[in-house]
Amino acid sequence: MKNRVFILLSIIFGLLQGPFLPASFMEGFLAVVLICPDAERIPTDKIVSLFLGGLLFDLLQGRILGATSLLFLSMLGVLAVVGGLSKRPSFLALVSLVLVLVRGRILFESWFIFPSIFSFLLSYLFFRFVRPLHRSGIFSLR
Amino acid sequence: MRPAFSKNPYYFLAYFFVCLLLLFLDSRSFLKPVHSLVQFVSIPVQKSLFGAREGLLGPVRGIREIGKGREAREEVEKRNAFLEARIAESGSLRAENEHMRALLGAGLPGRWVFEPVTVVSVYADSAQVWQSLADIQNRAVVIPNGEKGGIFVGRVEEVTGHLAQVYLPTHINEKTTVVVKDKDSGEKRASGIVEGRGGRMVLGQVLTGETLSPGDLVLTSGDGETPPDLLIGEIEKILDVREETFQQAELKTPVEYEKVTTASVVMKF
Repeated sequence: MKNRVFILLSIIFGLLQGPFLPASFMEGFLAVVLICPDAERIPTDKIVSLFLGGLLFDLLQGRILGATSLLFLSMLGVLAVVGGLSKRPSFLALVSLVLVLVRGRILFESWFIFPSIFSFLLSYLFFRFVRPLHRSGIFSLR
Repeated sequence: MRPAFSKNPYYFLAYFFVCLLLLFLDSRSFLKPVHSLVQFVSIPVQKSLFGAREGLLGPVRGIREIGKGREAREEVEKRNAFLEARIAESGSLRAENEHMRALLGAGLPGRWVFEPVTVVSVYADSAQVWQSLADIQNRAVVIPNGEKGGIFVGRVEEVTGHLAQVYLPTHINEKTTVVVKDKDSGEKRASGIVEGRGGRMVLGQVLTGETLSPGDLVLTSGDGETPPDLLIGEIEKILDVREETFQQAELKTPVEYEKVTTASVVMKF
């Protein structure tokens, strides 16, 4: 996913989530798709996009600034540490699920069970059928 | 397999620390102007979206009600009757001007000071309200209801810019001390604590010697920062807790929180 598209979708879902959709819903899917680890390293601009996307979610949803960015970057750190495991669609889908659950619990003090399951399924199907991952590269922050 | 860190991790760590710095600054309210600026644009959009959602869900809810059958319809009718009699006499959920007239004629004590707020959206057992005040943290949000008193909507948990997050009594973190009064005579029957259970409320800490009946009104007791005599709910069902010291009851909310468009913050009581 291109950085601009991610930022645009962050704005759209930042506005939609809460008033129209569950408050914690699509950010997990968007984040894992943005850093879709089909290359050997993550470019710096994607780190910046994750940071900005998180800020937009926080600003538009009236949450404490930096919280979502911190979660996004933590997710990036986890993916970098687990390396080869992050090439599996099921693992990325699980990351997306955890992201939605944790963000919902921390920022909205609720467990968003169904939105996180939806995010899991969406991510899994995306990486399984729409954009299969190349298993040759090793995901890292180099 | 662990990655070899070279250049990018420094950027990564730099942004990580920027996030921590932002968290610190925002927790100290230094970034309030930034929130206010963004909310100036985002709140009207989100309010429209919330209105659109209610417009879309209204017919769906209607279909679901039909599917539930006659019993459910009777229950809804009873509930409507209760709402009409106890809560919505002067149409407190109409336009804001009407709400303000209701506020001026409120049966709540005259010394109480209110400030109106607009409900932007309601989700996850909390309401987001637009306010122009500086300090409404922990204050009660109510719907003044003419001579009938007021309905307790919730408590302001957090203020970010002009947007305040109000925890509804159904929120899992909410505990409110209450008194139970007879529906008809208004006589006090019991006292206890209402706990939010995520989408529903349970009255607990009621001694077994005290009498609870379905239909009894549950009002705030006035302990702490919550004003007294605000309607929080109605007893729907007494729960079966054999050999326990305390009784428990399931409560019914006096209003559908999703349909509340305006409310008032009690600034002084």
